[in-house]
Amino acid sequence: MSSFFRKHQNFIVASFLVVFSLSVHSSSVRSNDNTPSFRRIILNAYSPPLRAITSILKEVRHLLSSYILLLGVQEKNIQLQKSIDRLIEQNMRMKEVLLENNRLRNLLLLKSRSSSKLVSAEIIGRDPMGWFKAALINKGAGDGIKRNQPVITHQGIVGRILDVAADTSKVLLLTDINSSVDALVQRTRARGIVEGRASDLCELKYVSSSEDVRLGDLVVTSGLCGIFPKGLTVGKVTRVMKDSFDLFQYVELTPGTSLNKLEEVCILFPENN
Amino acid sequence: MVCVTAEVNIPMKQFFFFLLGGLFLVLIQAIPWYYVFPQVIQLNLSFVFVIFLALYRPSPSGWFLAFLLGSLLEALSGVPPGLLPLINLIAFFLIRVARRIVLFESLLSQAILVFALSFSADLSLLIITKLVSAYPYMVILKNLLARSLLLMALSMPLFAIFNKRAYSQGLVLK
Repeated sequence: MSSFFRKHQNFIVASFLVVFSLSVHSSSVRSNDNTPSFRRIILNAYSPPLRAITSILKEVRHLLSSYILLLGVQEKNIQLQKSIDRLIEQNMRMKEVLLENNRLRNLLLLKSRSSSKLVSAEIIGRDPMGWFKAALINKGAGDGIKRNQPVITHQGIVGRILDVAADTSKVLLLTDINSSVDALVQRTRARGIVEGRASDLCELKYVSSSEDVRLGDLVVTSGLCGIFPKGLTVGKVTRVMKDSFDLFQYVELTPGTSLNKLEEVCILFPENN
Repeated sequence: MVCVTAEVNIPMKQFFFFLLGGLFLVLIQAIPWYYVFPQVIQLNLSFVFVIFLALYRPSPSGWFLAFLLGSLLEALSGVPPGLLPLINLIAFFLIRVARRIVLFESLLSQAILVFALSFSADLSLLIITKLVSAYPYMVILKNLLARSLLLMALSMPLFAIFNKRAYSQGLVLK
């Protein structure tokens, strides 16, 4: 028996792993309650190094914007007084701080405007595969975050919480192909489902050809999908194609939030929480 | 006594070296590089590692590491569950089959193998997850070629490092 196992150990292990992967994939309808413990462990394990690296990257960016990009200017203006250089450097620092302040103030404004509870979070990682649209944030179950909670910014919705670990969560972005949100055109109340197109765009599907949809129309959440409350900005219509023979028209959206440059987001809690 | 200790230690050392290497590559992939480099292309570096394992460690622990790397990536990604480990295992199996015909001893042949498998794996993933319908075909082709070529170029120094480390630990092409 043991010699049989030893002789065919590769085949047995490989078969077991393949069957296991297939069974995981076939039962891949994600339950709404808990993140599987294996995924929780991985998210927890990768959270500290990703946090550290993200803060280093931010410092590097700050350094680049405040020092290195100014080196050329400094050389050109070598005759100028040192005090002017110092002022320029300070100015650059202030600009960076100002930009950060603006972003944070917008988040605070969003917090004060909204009657629901909001928790702000920072992006610390992104989807390692590139083809899919997900991000890791530095808030998790310890902050009361649960699966399927909406993630937003002051510019509109970002996505929803997909997996939760102790102090990290994974966000499925609006532009991911697996993301769908019930929405309506604000001007005409035409309803449809916003689905990710993966290429930083979304599509408003199932809008009847008879509905009036125009370029620049704002699309907001309808509140019917059970995740996002009504009236949050999803994006703007950037392309409409109608065919008189088709039941539905093609409506392309650009998300209100620039999802590939995200740095800070807010997680929205239900009002009864 | 010394011989027994060496026999036990070397595979364990190799296993942990491979495990740490894989964990590190997955970490690199998950870093939000766009904070500093806005246009950086994301590459599946851990896939190079899976190919290396298939060439040099076709043992149960090699299969297990390939599966584990897929599961790690999957935990950090938005990809539907079970797909990445499965793709890694299929790639592992294909390499074992191909090894009966081609030796893949030189760095160049290994790099070409990386290109072919990376292209096929990404394309399969896009087809299975229906992402092909989300992008124009030309964009997909351009991206697949760019990613596979970059991975092929990067795989050469990676394989050189892995090879050096593997030979120093007494590991040979199996």
